[in-house]
Amino acid sequence: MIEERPVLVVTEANDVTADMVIAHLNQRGVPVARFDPADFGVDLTVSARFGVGPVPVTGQIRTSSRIVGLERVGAVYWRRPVWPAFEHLQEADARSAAAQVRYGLGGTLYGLKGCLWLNHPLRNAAADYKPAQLALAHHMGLTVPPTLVTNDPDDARRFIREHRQVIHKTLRWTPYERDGVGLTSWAESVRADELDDTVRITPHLFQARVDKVADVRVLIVGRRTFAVRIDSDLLDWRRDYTALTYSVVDLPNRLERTLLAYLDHFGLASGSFDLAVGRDGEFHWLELNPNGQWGWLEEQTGLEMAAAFADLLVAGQPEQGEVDVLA
Amino acid sequence: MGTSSIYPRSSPSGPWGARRLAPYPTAAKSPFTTVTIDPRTQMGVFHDALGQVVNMGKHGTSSATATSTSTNLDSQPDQGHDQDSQQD
Repeated sequence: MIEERPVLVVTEANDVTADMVIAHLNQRGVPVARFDPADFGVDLTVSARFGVGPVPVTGQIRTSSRIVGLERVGAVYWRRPVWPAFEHLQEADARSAAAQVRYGLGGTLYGLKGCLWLNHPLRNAAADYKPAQLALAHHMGLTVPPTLVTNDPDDARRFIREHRQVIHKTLRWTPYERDGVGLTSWAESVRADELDDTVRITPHLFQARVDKVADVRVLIVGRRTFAVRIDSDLLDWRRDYTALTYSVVDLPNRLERTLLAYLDHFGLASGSFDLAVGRDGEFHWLELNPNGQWGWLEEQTGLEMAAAFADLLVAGQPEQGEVDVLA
Repeated sequence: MGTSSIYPRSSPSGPWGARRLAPYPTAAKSPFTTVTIDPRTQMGVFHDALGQVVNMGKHGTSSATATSTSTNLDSQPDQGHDQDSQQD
């Protein structure tokens, strides 16, 4: 074995989940260069050449502690990067500068050859639309709860009357603060009389509530599947982590194969699926988080998730000899 | 919207869904104030307000609703953390 190819870990400094994976990479003697795009400037430098020599991209990424030859990069672990906002600049200048970093640094990385992406951010983004996720899940034969995406309040009311137990979910998470308090969206039951004409302003997602006995979180890393059953009385288990109990479960083979194919469809090396186990014993597909959190599940279950991520990053991209260009 | 609009488009309340947002479960204080990257290990080193290194032990990993204002430590939660998709 010749010298291991370096792994780029792209994430904010405050990322203990990435630390878990880096610890495994360190144990295996694999060179790691960690950086956050927010540090672009003095602490993060890119110098990339195109159109010279046999490889598509040559040059370096330099962090405050590492220098990595771009042609050597074996894998990119794209975790929780923060892009620079240039808040000290005027709005138009800030927007322009931020775009230069995204398209200059991001674009250089996207051009790397023979490099494994875990996951490619553009593929994460493509997979992160709930309506498209639902359509694909149904197409692949998964059991999907009846769902309505609409900005028509009358349609929404009819849907609620038809299905009786209906929840509302946000179509997209965004950072949100009100009076200094961070807010987020929760899967919550909704009654027809709670709706008003402000439903018209944007699309809203309404979904028939699954009569569930438990939730299942499925993390897939490469070809490895980690399925954890989460028992609680909560409609949305994220509400109270102290109320949850975890158990490792095996998925039916067919379901596991379908979830793997689901990730393949989006070109994702990893993903976290949320499923609900119905009183009918059926697995109901809820959603995919292409870059979902899993660190706490490893702690709770002892499943070797971080090691699986490290395995995948060390193995890198199977030899294909092609630049990983996105359509 | 046409002329049949029965609410101002610039409704101060915003879309219905925005009023369904609710606080994160707990907002405990972070046990650290700064994070640096160890140049040797490339792992985070967490410091408290006095500059002492905080051992994050097994209490730091992020869950699916983690925010910097919750007990968990990543500033980004499960979904839609990726700012890449915010521009197209």
